[in-house]
Amino acid sequence: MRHQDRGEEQDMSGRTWVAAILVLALALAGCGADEREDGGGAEGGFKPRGPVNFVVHTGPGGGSDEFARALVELMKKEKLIEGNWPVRNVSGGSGALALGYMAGQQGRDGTIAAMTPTWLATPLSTEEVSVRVKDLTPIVQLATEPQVMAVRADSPYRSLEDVVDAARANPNQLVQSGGSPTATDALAAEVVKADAGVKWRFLSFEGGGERIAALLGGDADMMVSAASDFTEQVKAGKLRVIATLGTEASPQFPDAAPLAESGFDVEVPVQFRGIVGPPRLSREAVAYYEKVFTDLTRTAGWKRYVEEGGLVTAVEPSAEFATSLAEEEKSMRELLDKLGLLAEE
Amino acid sequence: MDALQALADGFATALTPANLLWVFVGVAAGTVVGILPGLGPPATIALLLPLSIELEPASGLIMLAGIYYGAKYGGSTTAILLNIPGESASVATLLDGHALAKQGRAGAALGIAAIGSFVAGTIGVVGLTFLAPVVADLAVEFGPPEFFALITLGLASVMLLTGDSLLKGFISAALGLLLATIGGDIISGASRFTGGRPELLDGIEFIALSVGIFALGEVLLNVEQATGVQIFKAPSKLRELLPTRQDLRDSRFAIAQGSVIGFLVGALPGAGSTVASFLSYTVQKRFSPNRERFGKGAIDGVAAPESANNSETGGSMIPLLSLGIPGSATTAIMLGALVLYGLQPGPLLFTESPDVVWPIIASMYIGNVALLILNLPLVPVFASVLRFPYWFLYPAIVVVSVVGVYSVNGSMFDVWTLFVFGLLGYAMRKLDVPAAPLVLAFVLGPLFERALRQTMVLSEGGLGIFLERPLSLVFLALAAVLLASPLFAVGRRVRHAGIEDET
Repeated sequence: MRHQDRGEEQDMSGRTWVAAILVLALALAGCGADEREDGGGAEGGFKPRGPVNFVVHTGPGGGSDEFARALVELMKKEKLIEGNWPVRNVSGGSGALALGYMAGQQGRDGTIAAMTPTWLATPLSTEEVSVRVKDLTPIVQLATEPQVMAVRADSPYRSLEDVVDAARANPNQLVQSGGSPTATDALAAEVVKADAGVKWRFLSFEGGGERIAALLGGDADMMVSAASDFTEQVKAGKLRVIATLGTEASPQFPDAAPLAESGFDVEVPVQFRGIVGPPRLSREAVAYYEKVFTDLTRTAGWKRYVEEGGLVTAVEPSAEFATSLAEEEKSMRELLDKLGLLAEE
Repeated sequence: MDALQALADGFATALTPANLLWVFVGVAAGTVVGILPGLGPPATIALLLPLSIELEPASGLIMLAGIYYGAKYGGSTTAILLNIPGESASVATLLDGHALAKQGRAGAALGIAAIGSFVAGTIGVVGLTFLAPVVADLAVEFGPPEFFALITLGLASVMLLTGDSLLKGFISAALGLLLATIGGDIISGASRFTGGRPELLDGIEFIALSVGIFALGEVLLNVEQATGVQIFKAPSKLRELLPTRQDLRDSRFAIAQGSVIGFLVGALPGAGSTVASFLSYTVQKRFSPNRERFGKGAIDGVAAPESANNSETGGSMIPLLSLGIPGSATTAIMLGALVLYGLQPGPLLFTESPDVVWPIIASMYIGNVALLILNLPLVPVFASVLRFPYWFLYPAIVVVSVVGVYSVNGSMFDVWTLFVFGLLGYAMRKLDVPAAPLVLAFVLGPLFERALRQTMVLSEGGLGIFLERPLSLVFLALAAVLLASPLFAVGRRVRHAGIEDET
C-alpha cells in the first residue's frame, strides 16, 4: 500500500498542495456560509436560545428583505436582542415558498417571518399553494405603507380625478406600470377603476427599477407604489405625487389627497408589514416576540426609520392582528374573485 | 472637467490605508464567492451587510462594491477548470474555456480571463465616470419594444451556437424555450406547467440547470469513458501556464467589443450580465477570424464573454447611482445598503453625497488593479488543480456542484433538478446535441416573452411599434440579417456535419 501511495505523492508538487488547501478552505467557507439555518430551535421558554431565524419571502434587496434587515440592525442598536438574527431569504413564487417553509417549521419558536399582504393574495390566486396565513401564528403588525400615485413632472395630471377623467375621455389609453397583478398597488388601482367605471392598462415588470424606468421614460403614464420609492425622484423634479390610494394622507406627501378627498368612497387593500410565527408557536414565544417588536416601535431609531422609509407605525398585538388578518383575507378573496384572479379550489 | 476633479477627490478618500484594506477585503471575498457556484454576490453582500454598517458609508460601500465585481473575476475559474459555472454569467465562458483546459491550456484561458476582466472592468468604470448622465437617460428611453428587439437579436444569434448540425442546434434551442415556459407568468399571474409544485412557481433554477447540463453531464460521460487515462493534458512548464503573445493578439477585438457590449447592456435595467456575456460571445463568434475553433477552444471565445461580464458592473452602477434605480438583484441590495446608511439614493445622489459616490467609483479602479494582482499569480495554482487524478477530481466536482446548487435557495428540490439535468446533459453529449443553444434559449426565452407582451400592452396588439422606434428597428434588422446568413451557408454546414465530436 505504502509504495503505491508514493507514486501519487510524487505527482503532487508543492503547488498542488497549495491548491488542495485552497480548494478545501473554499469548500469550508461555502459550508460555513450556509450554516445559518435553524438558529433557534429551543423548545419552550421565554427567550430564544441562539440566533432567531428571520424569514422573508423576497431575495436580498427586496422590500421585505430590507425591512427585516433594518429591524434587526435597529434592535441590535437598541440592545433589545443579543447577537444577530440572521435573515433567511426563502424567495420564490411571491411568498409561496416562504409560506410552505413556515408551515414546515411547526412549533419551532426560533423561527419568525416578516409578512405583507402578498402572503394573503398568493395562496388565493395560486393553485400550488395550500398553506394559508391563518395556519400560521400572528405575532404583531408593525406598520402600514401608504400607496401613492406618481406621474412624470411634465404630466398634465395633478390629481386622481384628472387621471380618472382622462381615462373616461380616452378609455384604455393610459398605462400604469407596476409588478404582479395581485400586488397591493395593482389591486388598489383596480378598486378605483371599478368604482369610477373607467379602464386603463397595466404594464407588469419583474424588477422595481424597470417599473420606475418605464414611468420616467414615458412608456407608462402613472405608477402606484410606496411613498419612499418616489421621494428622491420628486425632489429631483422628475416625478410628481398626485394622490394617496388609502384612507389617510401619506406623511411624506401630505398634499397628495387620500381617496375620500378625491371623491372616492371605496376601501382599498392596505400595504401592511407584520410578524408571524410558524403554526402552533407557544404562547410564551408569541408574548416574547410581541414585546420585543412593540418595544422597538417606541424607540427613536424606529421613528426615524419609519419617517425616512415612508411608513406609518400601526401596532396591532397578536389577537388584534389575527382578527384583522382574517378580515383582510376575506376582502382580498372578494376582490380577487371580482377581478377573476381567484384560483379554483 | 468636473468629473475628473470629483474623481480626484474620490481617489483621495479611496486611497487612505483603511479604505484600501476594505477594497482588498471586498475583492478577495468576491473572488472566493465567484469561484464557488451557488452563493452569489447578492447573498454575500447581504451576509456582510451587518459588518459593513459598522463602517463609514464610503468604506462599507467600497467593500460591498468590491464583492460585486470581485465575484465576476472568480466566476470564470471553476467554469474553465471544472466546467462548473461559478455564477450564471460564466456559462458563456465555459463553452471555450473548458475546451481549452482539456487541451492543457487552462492557464492561458484563466490568464486571458483575468486580463480581459481587468481591461474591460476598467473601461466600464471609465464609462461610469464620464458617461453616467448620458447613459442613464438612454437607459430610461430603452422600453419594452427596444428590449424585445435586443433579445430577438440574441435569440437569432443562437444560430451561431449550433455547431455542426443546424437541426440539432434548433432542437436544443427549442428544448430551452420549452423549459423556460415553466413557472409563474407575471403578466396574468397564472402559473404554467408546475405540476402542482410550488418550487417551480419561479421556474427552473438556472444554476441547477446549467451546472447539471455542463458539469454533471461532463462527469458522467467521462466516467463512462474513463480508462484510467488523464483526461486533461497537464501543462508542464510555467510558460505554458500563461497566455502567449498570439493569444493576446487574438483577443484584442474580443476584449474591446466585450467592454462596449457589457457596459451598455449593464446600464439597461433588467438585462444583466448573463445576457451581456452571451451577446458578446456570439458577436465574437460571428466576426472572429478563427470562427471554426469556437466551441473547441478559441481563446477569444473566453476573452469576449469575460470582458462583457466585467464591464457590465460599471454599466449597472449607472442606473443605481445616477437614478436610484436598481437594475439587478445585486444593485438592489446595494440600494438597500445606501438607505441603511441614511443616504437617499436617487437622481440627486451625485450632487448631495459626492463624498460617498466618488470614492466608490475611484475604488473600482483600484479594485480592478487589485484583482489583477490577486488573480494572475493564482492562475498557475488554480490550473494545477487539473493535475489531480480523475478519481479525486470527479467526486470533487459532484460534491462542489451539489453543495453549490443547494446553497442557492437551500432547496433539495434544486438538487434533484441538478441530477435530472445532469442526465440530460449526458444524453445530449451522447447524441451530439450542443448544450449552448438550450442554455441561451432558457435565459432569453422569458425575457423575450415578457418584453413582447409588455410591448403588446403598450401598442394594444399592434406590431407597428417595433418599426416606429428607431433602436428597435435597428436591432430587428440586424436579427433578420443574422437569420438569413446561415441559409447561404447550409451547404457548407451539411458537408461538415458529423465530422467532429464537440462536447
